[in-house]
Amino acid sequence: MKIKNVIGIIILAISIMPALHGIFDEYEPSARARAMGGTYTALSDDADGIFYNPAGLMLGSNQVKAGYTKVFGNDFQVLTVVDASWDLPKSYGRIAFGYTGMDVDYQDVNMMSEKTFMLGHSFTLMKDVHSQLHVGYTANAYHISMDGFSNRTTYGINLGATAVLHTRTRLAFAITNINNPRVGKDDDYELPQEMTIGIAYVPYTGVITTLDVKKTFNAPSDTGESTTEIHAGVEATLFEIISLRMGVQDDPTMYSAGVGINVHGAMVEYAYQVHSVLDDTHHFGIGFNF
Amino acid sequence: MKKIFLFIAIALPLMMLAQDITPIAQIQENINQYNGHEVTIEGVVTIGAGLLYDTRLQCYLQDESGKGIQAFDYDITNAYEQAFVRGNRLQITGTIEEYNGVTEITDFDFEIMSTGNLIPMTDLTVSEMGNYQTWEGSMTWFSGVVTDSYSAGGGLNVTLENTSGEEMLYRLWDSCDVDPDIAVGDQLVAKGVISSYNGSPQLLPAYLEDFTPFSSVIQPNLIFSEDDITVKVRVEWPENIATMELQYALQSDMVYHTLILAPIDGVDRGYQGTVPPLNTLTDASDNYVFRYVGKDSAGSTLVTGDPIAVVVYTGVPFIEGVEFYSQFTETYNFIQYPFNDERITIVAEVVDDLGEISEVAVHYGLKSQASMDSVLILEPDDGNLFEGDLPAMTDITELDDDFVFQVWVTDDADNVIHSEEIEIVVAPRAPVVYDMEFLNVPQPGEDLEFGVNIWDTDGDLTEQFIQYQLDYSSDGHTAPLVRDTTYSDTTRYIGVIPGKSSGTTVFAHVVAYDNDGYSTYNIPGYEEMEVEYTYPVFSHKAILKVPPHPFNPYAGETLPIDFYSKQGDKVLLRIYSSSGKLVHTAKNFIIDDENGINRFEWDGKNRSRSVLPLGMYICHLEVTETDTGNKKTAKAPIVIGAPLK
Repeated sequence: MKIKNVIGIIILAISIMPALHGIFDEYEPSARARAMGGTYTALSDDADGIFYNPAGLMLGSNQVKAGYTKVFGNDFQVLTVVDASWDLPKSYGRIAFGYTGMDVDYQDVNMMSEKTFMLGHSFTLMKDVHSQLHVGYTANAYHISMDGFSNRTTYGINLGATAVLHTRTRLAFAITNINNPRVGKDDDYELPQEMTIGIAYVPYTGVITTLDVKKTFNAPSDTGESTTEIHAGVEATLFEIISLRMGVQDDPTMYSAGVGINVHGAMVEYAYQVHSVLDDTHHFGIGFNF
Repeated sequence: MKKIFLFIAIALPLMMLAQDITPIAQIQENINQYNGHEVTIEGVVTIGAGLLYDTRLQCYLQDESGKGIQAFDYDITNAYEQAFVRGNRLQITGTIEEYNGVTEITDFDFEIMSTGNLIPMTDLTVSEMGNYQTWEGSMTWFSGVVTDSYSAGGGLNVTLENTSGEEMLYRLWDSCDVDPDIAVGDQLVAKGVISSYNGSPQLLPAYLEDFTPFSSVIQPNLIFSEDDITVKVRVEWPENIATMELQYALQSDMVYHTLILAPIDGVDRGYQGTVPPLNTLTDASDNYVFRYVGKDSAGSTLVTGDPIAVVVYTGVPFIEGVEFYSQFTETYNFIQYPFNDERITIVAEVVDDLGEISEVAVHYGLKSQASMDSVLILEPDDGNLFEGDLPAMTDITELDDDFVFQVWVTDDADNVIHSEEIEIVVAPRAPVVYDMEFLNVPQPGEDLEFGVNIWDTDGDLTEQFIQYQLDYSSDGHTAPLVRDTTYSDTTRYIGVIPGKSSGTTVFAHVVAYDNDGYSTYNIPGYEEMEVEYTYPVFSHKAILKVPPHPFNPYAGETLPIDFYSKQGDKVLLRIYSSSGKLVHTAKNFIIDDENGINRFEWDGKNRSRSVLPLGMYICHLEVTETDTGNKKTAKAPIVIGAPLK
């Protein structure tokens, strides 16, 4: 009964809380995730997972990745991403490093620059024949500068957990900035605190379906903005080297598709995302599995 | 019998016209009878001078008969500006005229009977408002949802729809200088005077308070700490208010006390009450903050007004104002700052309602030394004015410097007060630039002609040119200035800026050097002297201009968003978050400006009127050609910022 109540409260909280935040917004750092509609909480099985759910790092391998996109085709909104994950010796799990940078350059003025440095660690909490439970965390350094308003660095902590059930099903959640980091001269402005619940299911070999439900906890209560975000995606591996991806999401409603090519550990990824009004987003990524 | 009828027919109108005060309703309902005749009316000003029209007097008054009338004159005098103020009750004797369906009183004399009166209001149904020929000039109100809002022809048109689906148009003229911050979807209750446009009724609001449910009067006008404060308030909506409260607090602690207001006899939805003197709450010098709260019969709050700052004076003297000038700044009002070899006259207006001023002194010094050791005693001049001269800067120091001073006032009870620190910027005799203007209104591609007066008051110019920038680009351009030989005035110069494409804005200023090596840059504040011209847009385009700098709406800043396309194109200006969420639809209208030039001042708020979080937003412009349906778009980043350290 208590578990049902807790689940009910979580669902209610997610459904009523508005979702709008400014700085360090959801920029979708992974081309693979973007192609799948941003559903990565339960997947999260590569170095990009550090941005979505650090627990998923345990499902990946030693890897280095980089990404580049102009969000919504905006010349003034360039996102760059670098991340890497590596096994620790013995059974100490896996560590990862992530970097995202978004600069707003317009009319030869750098109006704003956001940089995030993340250091993550994940490990297996439990493992048996039928199931696995992985947990992970990241320590984040956020640096923001604004033209005429100086700059500021603050720090946040993310948590995540992923349960793998009978190899076909993954349940996961991730929470960002649980320590409520702030910026501003008098710490007036909170960074987004977000919770995402995700599920991934493998109906048959080579196909992964994913679903994320996402909400921000600390958006201003009177913004009147939108409701729960729902993201869904699918990835189908056609051959060993080629994967096709598709995804949808609401608020804003966007459709996406993409392809990933993996040849002898070298990866090339591309995502294409369509917004109803703004221009399309082309997202490129490269990487290497060791 | 015939003679009796004849006597009645002649005498009755004359008797009506001869009575002292004629109700405005009587005039409005018998306009044919009063047209061209002199009458005396008495009413409260509902819309004051200079609001509906910049240069003509077009004011409205309304009396207890429930109807209003326009007072008209071809000029606005200082006397009009002081008398035709909302809430003033005036007695006017003048001639009634009807012009284009508007009843006016013209060629009048007037007298102020009282000030601070409640604004008369007539409750009307939409169908009654539709009969604007009858109710023209009367103040009324309307409640509904904003279904359309767009700028056109020097004003803002706002369409409201009530719950019955009935619509009413509000017309807010730019001359009112009011920004009520209206967006489509807002629930709005607003007041206005009934007028007409193209055969349909419209309401004319003119004040920001016309967009709030409260209209109030706080008396006396000048409040001392020992005064009772009388408050009268009228709440237009909602209708089910059972209790009106005035909540008052000291500005220093903001702890609100509650005063239940009593209904005013004979005034629908009018309430009044008396706030205790401030000195009963505190001995210290402080001010009040008032706010109105309307509650229903169950005690639930229905509506709360914005806080009102109420200044309370103590019995000590106060400084009404301080001004300073030099010989040149007085003679040539385009010269902003005194020159460093001039004496500077300081004039202070000082008031002491409970006693007499015994001394007014100016403590002054050089800004660089951050001290005010020198003292100048101001002499009484005229009434409350005290005057004295500071020495010329060059008599004190050879360095470039500025003055700082404070005015200190002592009264006969030994109360001593002083002003804030005031700075006098002192300028060297560098070239003075004035009457800077564009001489033509060029079409796209045509040269922009420029004229300016440049005067070196102690020598000759050695170099002068135009410096200009295009839009928000930081790249500077120059164009030569030459003497305009068609003028006998040797200070007149002209120049030409090469033609630019449609929608380009040129920001121009002048740089000049004299034979002492001074440039116009040596005059503080010169950089602000700039003229701008935007080339008209006559073709289907989507031109969007946003300043490339963050702005801070948390500090009250707004961001000018310029967007251009040809007249008749439909514009949709929207703002998205950096992740693509629509946060605000700023504009949705058809361009009315013949040059296609439009500006929207964004206050950083979303459709729920909340200031958005820090971060980047995407400003997206979509322009649709109404004839063909062709669309063009443009976008630009906006950054909401705030001090980070």
